[in-house]
Amino acid sequence: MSDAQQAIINEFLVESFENLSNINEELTRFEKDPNDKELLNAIFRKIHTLKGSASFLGFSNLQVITHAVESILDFIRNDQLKADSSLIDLFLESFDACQAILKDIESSGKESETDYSELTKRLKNNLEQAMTGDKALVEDKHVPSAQEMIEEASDADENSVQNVQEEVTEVETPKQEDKKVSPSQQAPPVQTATGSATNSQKLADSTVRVNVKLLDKIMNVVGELVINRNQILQYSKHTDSAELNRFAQQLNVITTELQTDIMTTRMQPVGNVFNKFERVVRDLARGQGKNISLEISGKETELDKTLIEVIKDPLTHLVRNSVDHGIESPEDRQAAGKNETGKLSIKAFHEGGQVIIEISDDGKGIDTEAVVKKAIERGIFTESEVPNLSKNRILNVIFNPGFSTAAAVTNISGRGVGMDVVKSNIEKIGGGVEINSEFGKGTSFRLKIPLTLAIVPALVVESGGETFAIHQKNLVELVMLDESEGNSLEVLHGNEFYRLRGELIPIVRLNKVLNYECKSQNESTLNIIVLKAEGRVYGLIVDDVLDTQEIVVKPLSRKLKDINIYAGATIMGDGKVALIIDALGFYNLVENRAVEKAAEESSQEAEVVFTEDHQEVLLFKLGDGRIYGVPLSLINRLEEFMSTSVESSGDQSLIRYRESSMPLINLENLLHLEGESQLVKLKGKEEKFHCIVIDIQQYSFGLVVDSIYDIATSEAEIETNTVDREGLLGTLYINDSLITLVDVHKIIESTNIGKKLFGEIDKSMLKGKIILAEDSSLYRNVQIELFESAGLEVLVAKNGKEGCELFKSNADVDLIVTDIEMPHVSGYEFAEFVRETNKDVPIIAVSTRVSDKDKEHGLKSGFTRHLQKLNKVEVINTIKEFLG
Amino acid sequence: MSNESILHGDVNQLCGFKIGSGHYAVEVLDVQEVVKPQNVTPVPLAPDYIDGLINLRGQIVTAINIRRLFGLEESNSDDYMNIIVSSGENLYSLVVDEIMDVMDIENSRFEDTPDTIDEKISNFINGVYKLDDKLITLLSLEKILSLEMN
Repeated sequence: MSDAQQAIINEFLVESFENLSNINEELTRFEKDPNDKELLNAIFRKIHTLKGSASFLGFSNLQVITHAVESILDFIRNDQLKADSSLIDLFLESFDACQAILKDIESSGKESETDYSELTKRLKNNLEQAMTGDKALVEDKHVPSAQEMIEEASDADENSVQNVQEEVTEVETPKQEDKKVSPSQQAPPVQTATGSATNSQKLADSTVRVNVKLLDKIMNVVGELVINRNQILQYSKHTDSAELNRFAQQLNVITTELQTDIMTTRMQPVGNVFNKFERVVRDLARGQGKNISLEISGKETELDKTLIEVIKDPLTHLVRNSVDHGIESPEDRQAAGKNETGKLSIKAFHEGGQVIIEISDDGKGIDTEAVVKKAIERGIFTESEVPNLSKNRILNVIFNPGFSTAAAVTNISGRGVGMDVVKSNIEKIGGGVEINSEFGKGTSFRLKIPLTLAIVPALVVESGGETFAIHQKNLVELVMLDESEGNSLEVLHGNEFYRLRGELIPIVRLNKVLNYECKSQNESTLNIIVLKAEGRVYGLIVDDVLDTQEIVVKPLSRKLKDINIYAGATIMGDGKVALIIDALGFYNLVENRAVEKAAEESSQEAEVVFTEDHQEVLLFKLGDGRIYGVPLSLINRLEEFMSTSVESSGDQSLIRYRESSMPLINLENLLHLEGESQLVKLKGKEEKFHCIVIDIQQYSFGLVVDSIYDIATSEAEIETNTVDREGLLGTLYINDSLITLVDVHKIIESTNIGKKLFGEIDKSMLKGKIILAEDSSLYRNVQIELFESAGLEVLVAKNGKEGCELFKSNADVDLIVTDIEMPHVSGYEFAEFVRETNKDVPIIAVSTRVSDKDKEHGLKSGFTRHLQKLNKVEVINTIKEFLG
Repeated sequence: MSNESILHGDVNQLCGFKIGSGHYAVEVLDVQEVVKPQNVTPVPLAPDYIDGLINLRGQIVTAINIRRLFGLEESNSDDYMNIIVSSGENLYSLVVDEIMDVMDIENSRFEDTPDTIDEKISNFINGVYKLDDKLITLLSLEKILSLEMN
């Protein structure tokens, strides 16, 4: 193929792709408003152009399809045929075929072997129907039979140019009147390869095609120029030369103008992307039997070309999500009292130097409760965190990788991939995603996109003698705090906070985080920069706020990028390099450090941090003056009773508690300790004593102690070989003192009343291999002992994750006993994992969480039974049920 | 030495430099330029062998302190040099004490990294040139800059 010919084909491809790019949107619009003659004409012209070029260049498949479509369109144009949905479907399909052919031509230079005869046949049938229909009586215009037309098209390559020429005149001239195209409508003039030479000449005169790479390069050079300008401006500030100042100002104005103009050349209307959604939404909605009206506004809003490329996929994903998950089926909508037709709106507009794109639907919204539940399962939140979570934080969870609350995985969405990608893609270009949702009312996503990438407005600050820049997009406000006037930061748990109009925001000192020497600064005023990243607001304290500036963002080398707190570097007016602080990365760093710190401190403080293998122990003293401990998770309440209200039944002391009598346990007696129990000491006196209340099934037991000492957290291993008597579990070092752990089960069992209640455990006859997953080493030991003494072979996992692995390598186990609350992988997740491959093996959950809700959750996850942690008898009996 | 032998590959052109009393070199073709000390912007929380960032005519250069990378004694001298090298889209500066001449050295003098060299250094070099009066250690830019990859 000669160069000249190739050039023509390239021209043809560019033009045709351009023509076809909007045709889907126009067709769907036409479907909604079939009376829009102008629109129909625009479509007709496009297809006509395509047909003409195709026959001129000898692409026969393309020609046959376009010719048939054109003919049908002509009938519609002459009101001889009505465009119904199925016909529009056929058109859409035809244009898809056209596009596929064009792509083939683009890649191989010729049409592929793909067989389109089925499509052309259907087109032909439609055409014939139209012609035989009663309405197919045309006044004076000669209408060729369908057969004729197709044939004419097929052998068009031979006498193409002529043929096309003739047809153009034939079709166009009589239509001149109703072809009054409004000037604003920029549909390209009808042009066949030869016929419109003069027209396209005019167009070519006013525009030039420029390679995007060249534009990129120019943009870079302008970036350099901006830096240079900044340097000259800075320099001129320090000189007295009026001349230089004048030149510098001129340079400033010119550079700014140039920068704006160059940026404009790269701008494209977002409509280029939005238009595709007409088709996407239409197809999806039809496929799912939903009625959706799509409203698009702000198509003309412009964005940098590279940005448009980047946002295309995230936007498509969000739109698909809205159609698939957001908007309900017509029946559901009716049931919810909504209009059957769902509304999906896509809006683009400018706001605060950014482009905002909003995608909102009036569908079912996001169920925050379901999200929270799932987030807890996945370990994103802990249960104790939940009440303090803002709605915003909860909604943002859906951006976590792999997170999906969709009940069913469809081929469109719900696979848990996507939202995280949406977010990371948008953030990559310096934008942000906000989400808002009312359960039952709808969801809206708000994408903030910067106008351009390379040059951004930034706040320039100083800290520890170094200069830093912060993206303006993260900046909320600046606060200058004069401590001498009685305003100050508040300190909670060693962390600083500032009360900003009533709301407490965390405060971070930049130099502290970056390990800078604290500059001896004027301590009485603090510069707080209030930043917002991903919905989290925090204050950053710097030494000085210098300026706002347009900065040119330069990427950092890999290793420095990995620190994750810098968004890049820039060159300041004085030629020095300044680091750009990434507000989000910086916050994450601070947060991670705080978590680490908390974990370190948790061994001293009784703070609930979920680490592996740690247990909280309630410490108390008994009559012998020594310290004993009971795992906190076993204890239901701590009570104080008057010694006068103790009653006796036989040898057993009882007390009236919650409308029944609760046995009081004399630990000193049962454990054969020195010293006397409060029960004995206070007999006949009128004094209060402490009691640890433990519930087993519906019964409560009270352990009488001398005094409650403390609550401690320990990760130390329990020494079990130090036990010298029944009723003790072992010893443990907590804060350097030796603690004896009391085996509450055994003690309660060994009381007369316990024996009566639970009976002796018959452990002798069990046989089998079980997996035990339990994160607390205390419980692990108790249970291992229990199961082994019952004759079972016990495979031990310290958490759900180990459990999964054990199960993988020991799929033949007879039974699984698991805790629920475990780090890494919870009992629920463990059970779900097992159930993926094995539906039959009994899984017994042994937990302190036995509310109905927990049980329901457990059953869903695949638990066979859900037992209370304390009750050995019940556990063994249950196991016996399955293995006995 | 004739240009011919350089072309035929039996001679290597090296850019020599000194750190302390040690002689080192990089391939001359890897070197973009050598510049005097520049204003360095430190990068807090970066690995310690990264001195910071410098502005080389509008481009950002990451300065790598070879002394610290090799675990050698710190120098307080203000007198040092930046050897600018490029890798991919990024520019790096190797911060060294002193620049020597460009040397033409026969490949026959090249030996693989001796086992006796400290691991901190041997991880970043290709081998050693044995000259009559001294040893010249040939740095591997690839290995040094691959730090970036891990």
